[in-house]
Amino acid sequence: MSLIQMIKFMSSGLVITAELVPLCVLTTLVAGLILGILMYKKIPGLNIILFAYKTFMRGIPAIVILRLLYYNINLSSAFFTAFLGLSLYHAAYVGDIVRGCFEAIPKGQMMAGESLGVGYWTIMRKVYIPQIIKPMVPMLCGQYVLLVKDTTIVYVVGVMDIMWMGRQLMALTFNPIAGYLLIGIFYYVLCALIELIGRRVEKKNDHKGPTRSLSSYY
Amino acid sequence: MEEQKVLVEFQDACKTFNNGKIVVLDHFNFSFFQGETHVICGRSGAGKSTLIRCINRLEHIDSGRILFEGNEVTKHNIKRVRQRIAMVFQSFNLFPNMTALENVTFGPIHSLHKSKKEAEETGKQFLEKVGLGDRMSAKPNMLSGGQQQRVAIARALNMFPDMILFDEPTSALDPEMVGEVIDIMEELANEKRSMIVVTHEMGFAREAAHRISFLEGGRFIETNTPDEFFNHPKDESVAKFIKQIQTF
Repeated sequence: MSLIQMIKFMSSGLVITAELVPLCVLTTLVAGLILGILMYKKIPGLNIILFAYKTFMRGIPAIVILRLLYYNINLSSAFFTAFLGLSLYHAAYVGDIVRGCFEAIPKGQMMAGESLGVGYWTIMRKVYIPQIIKPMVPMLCGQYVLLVKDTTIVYVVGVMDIMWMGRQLMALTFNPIAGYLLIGIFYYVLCALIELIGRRVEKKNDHKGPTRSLSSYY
Repeated sequence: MEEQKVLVEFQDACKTFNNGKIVVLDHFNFSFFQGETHVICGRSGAGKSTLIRCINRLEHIDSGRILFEGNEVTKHNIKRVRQRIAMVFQSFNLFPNMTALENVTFGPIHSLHKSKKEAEETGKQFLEKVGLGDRMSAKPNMLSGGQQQRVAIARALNMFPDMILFDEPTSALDPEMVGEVIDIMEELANEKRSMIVVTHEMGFAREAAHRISFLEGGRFIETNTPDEFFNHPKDESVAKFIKQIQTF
């Protein structure tokens, strides 16, 4: 089988992985932001639930979450099971990143905003969120690279992703080196793309937030 | 005092920390008047900052009432009260992602719902008033401590408040920068603005205050004019405190 034929054979799996990744990234970003804000607010009662969710998700491997969803909840499709499992799993990490970034902002800024009679969510939107983007981007990039790599396990719930197709290819050609190399190159490109987007976002937000100390201006 | 209109009134207010172990306000009753500069002093940990934070509900009292212009300050009307009582903090608390002008216009735009143009117009005037007309587009980390505190004062002024609370505004400043902030505060005092100032700057208290109070054990153990307070203190603790600060 030629290289072109191999790529053609794996293309359907490639498309599925390429669909799964941005869906999970977007969902975890939105869910993580909401979770982060709720964890930062420390709402009595809810805080305990969020803490339990976070420690549960962070304490067990993603493959176990996928298997638990697959065997216990009768979801409509394998793709949706994978999407939900990975999103639930990584949203816990993203939420904690967001919470950590919020915690790093001095509480006095919230107090100053409130003392002006400005509402909580306006202060969040105009003061807090612009400040957390810059420090958050490198951490999110790291997390999303891990998410991309975690998509290699979605075949355990029956998703015919690139890994699944790669394994089929290896079974057909008895050539594991070519199969794994193709998978590796695909993931490398995907991860490099995330790093690139991260760097762009970071650069774009360079002017927001305190970036240099006073001494650097003299 | 020419006018004796009560602006803020504490009625039997109590505030404790650590399950009642630390008493900050002990059935506290007091009235702050319109147009007066009222300096609050006392030992560290006496609860001076907590007292003024209770006025705009950044801290909540355990019992009793606080009235602003005769109306009780509650969680329902706190936004309106905060729109009329501005605060200047010890550590400036400027928003680092915004320029000096954006900091000054943040409150008027998002709290008073003024137009950006209107807020900027008055904001520029106040920044010029505090001597920062040329640093409007500078972010806080490009300003010195004294300049940051002056931006914080301009931010408070741009709310056109009925009262300004100053929470140790010079404590975090280098000695050479204290003067520039004190000068502005003295100017505001001369304009007969209603101000409650928690400070250790006894020079300012002596020069600009209409009344000085000494907080101890959850109450003002002495309230007097600057002259009486410094030269003829009635309370022994106050006399001791004045003696101590004069030694330094």
